Amino acid sequence: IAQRERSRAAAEEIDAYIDDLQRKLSYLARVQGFSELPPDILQTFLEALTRHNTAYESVAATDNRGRLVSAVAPYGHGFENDLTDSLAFRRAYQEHEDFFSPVEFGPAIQVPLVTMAVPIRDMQDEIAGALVAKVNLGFLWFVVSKTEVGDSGYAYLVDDRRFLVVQKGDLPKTGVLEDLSKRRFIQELIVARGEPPVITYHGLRGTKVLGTSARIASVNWHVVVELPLSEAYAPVRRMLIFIGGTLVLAMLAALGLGLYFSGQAVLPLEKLTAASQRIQSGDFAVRVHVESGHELGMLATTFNTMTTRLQELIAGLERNVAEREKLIDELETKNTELERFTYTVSHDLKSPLITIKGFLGMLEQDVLAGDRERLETDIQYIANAADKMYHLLEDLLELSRIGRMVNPSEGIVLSELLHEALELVSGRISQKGVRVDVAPDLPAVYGDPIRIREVFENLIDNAVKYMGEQPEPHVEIGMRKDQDDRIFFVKDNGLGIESAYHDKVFDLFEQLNPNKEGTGVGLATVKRIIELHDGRIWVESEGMGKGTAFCFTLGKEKTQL
Amino acid sequence: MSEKASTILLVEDNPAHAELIIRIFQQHCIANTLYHMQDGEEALNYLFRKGDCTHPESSPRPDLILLDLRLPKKDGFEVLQEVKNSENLRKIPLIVLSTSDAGQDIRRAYAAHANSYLMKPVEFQKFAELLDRVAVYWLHWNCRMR
Repeated sequence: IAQRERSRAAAEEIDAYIDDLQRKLSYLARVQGFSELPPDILQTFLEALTRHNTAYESVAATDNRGRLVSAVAPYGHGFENDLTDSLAFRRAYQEHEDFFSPVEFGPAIQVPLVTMAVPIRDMQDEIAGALVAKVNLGFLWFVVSKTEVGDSGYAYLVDDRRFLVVQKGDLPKTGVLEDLSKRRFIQELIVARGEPPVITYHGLRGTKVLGTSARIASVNWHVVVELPLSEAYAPVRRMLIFIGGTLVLAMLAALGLGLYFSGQAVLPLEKLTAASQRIQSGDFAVRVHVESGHELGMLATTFNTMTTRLQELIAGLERNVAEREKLIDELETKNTELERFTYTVSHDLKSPLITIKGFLGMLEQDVLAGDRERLETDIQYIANAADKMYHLLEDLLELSRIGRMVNPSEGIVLSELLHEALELVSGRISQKGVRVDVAPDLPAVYGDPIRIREVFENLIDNAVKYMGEQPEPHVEIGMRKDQDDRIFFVKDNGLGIESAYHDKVFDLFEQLNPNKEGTGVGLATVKRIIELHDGRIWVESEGMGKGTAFCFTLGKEKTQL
Repeated sequence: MSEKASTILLVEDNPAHAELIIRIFQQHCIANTLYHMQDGEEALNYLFRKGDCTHPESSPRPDLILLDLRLPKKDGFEVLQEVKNSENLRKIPLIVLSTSDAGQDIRRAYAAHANSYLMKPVEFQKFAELLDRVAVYWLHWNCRMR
């Protein structure tokens, strides 16, 4: 586009210049009676003309036969005296036309020249001769040369025959004009009408150029402007580099922003997703930490709140389920116990009843036989059975009471409690001459004091009861530590229990020795009490004759003082 | 009633009941010899001639076993099972004599091939009559292995 403007500007400048030269001639040609002016005045006119513009190499006026009437040639390159046969005269005089010759090199000076001719008139306004001027086109070189076409571009001028007239930077040296009419680009550039195109081709100087042309209207010449592609595309290349650089920068910026936003948006989302998956797999302790004030931050907060709430709900549910399961377990245990209870009660209560009824029958026979000794034995059987029934009922009542822990738990000083327990079974202890040792440094415990006392009472009583024929009966009460557990024990050197019966002894109505008094409720009661205190109880004995230790714990640390 | 010498093994943990049974047998002149064992372990030692009862003469094969179910140490069912698993002992008529009338006990006893299941009557007369009939049936009417 810039080229087009340049070529047009050059064309217009040349056009105006040539037009001016022609107009001056035409002006004189229109003067009535110009041909009849006296020769000296005519000479003055012609001289004025050449002085007006140095481009007029020489000017001459002819008569109607083509002979020179007056001529001015300030640079010494004049006309021949007779122009009758010249094309210029003939056109102007005979055909009454303004004449403009093709460019030619003057024979004497190496500059391109054109010859112009206009008809001149006499007083009657009849054509009476011609005014002929040779115009030096040197100025065209000047115009073409000053036409700036980038750094390496150039302009040149072709005439109506498409001959190269002048080109930038080169003063024509030879007298030969180069014929460009066969050049393809000239044919393409110079179009009959409309805007001349801007095209790419191998230009006048052989390099690839971007070229265009502009028409010089007055003479149908053309100014061609060519800019080598290397330069023509330099701005484009610069633009490309600029755009490319900008693009790269923009991409880097986008990448940076992307990373930033990924930190802002994607990472939190990933965190949320990961957290969701963990929740799905049942981990409700998961929390999402998102440091941002925008929606994702809010989402994370909501998410965390939701998770916390969910965790609470589930914990609540789990608690409920655990409580219910514990309740069901307890109920099942109690139910089993109850079944066993009714079963054993029916047996164990029926058993003494059979004895009583049976020996009552025997009594009759004893009386009839008058066997007084047997009578007394049989009465004793009856009394024992009745006692057994009484104890059984008492113990059962006691066992049923333990189920409900009436007394609240409190801190218990074991030494005091053991003192009470030993008092209660002191009769049997002294009867059997059992030595009882109580460890001096027993800790305080937490629980129902009456029940705990009952435990020791039962265990001491048991130890004494099953002492056997031990010559030095001994019971030891103490505590040992096993990791976190405090294990209390009541240990004797009596009969001992075989390992097969270590669990069985705690069953209701279970008695290992049928000859011994007792109901088989005592150890079941002890076990129940210990379990109500979240503890457990077990037997340690190496077998018959090796003594027995009943060991138990009392719940967890929190229930202990 | 033919007075053949017969031996009864009584397995009974309740001393009063044992005394009652022994006395009824004596009054009815039922058994020449009655061995009384107080728990399941004693009974099995006697039958298998282990522990204190290794001598065949001191522990002769009984003609009838009267077995209580609720026994200390090894209970009646264990005794029943071991007897009926033994090639020699399973031929001896074994009669369960229990206070229990629980269906599960009765089923379990028969499942273990008890020959009979009897419940101890509370009434003395009935108890005496029961033992008399048992002895008559199992020791006299019932043909014994020879």
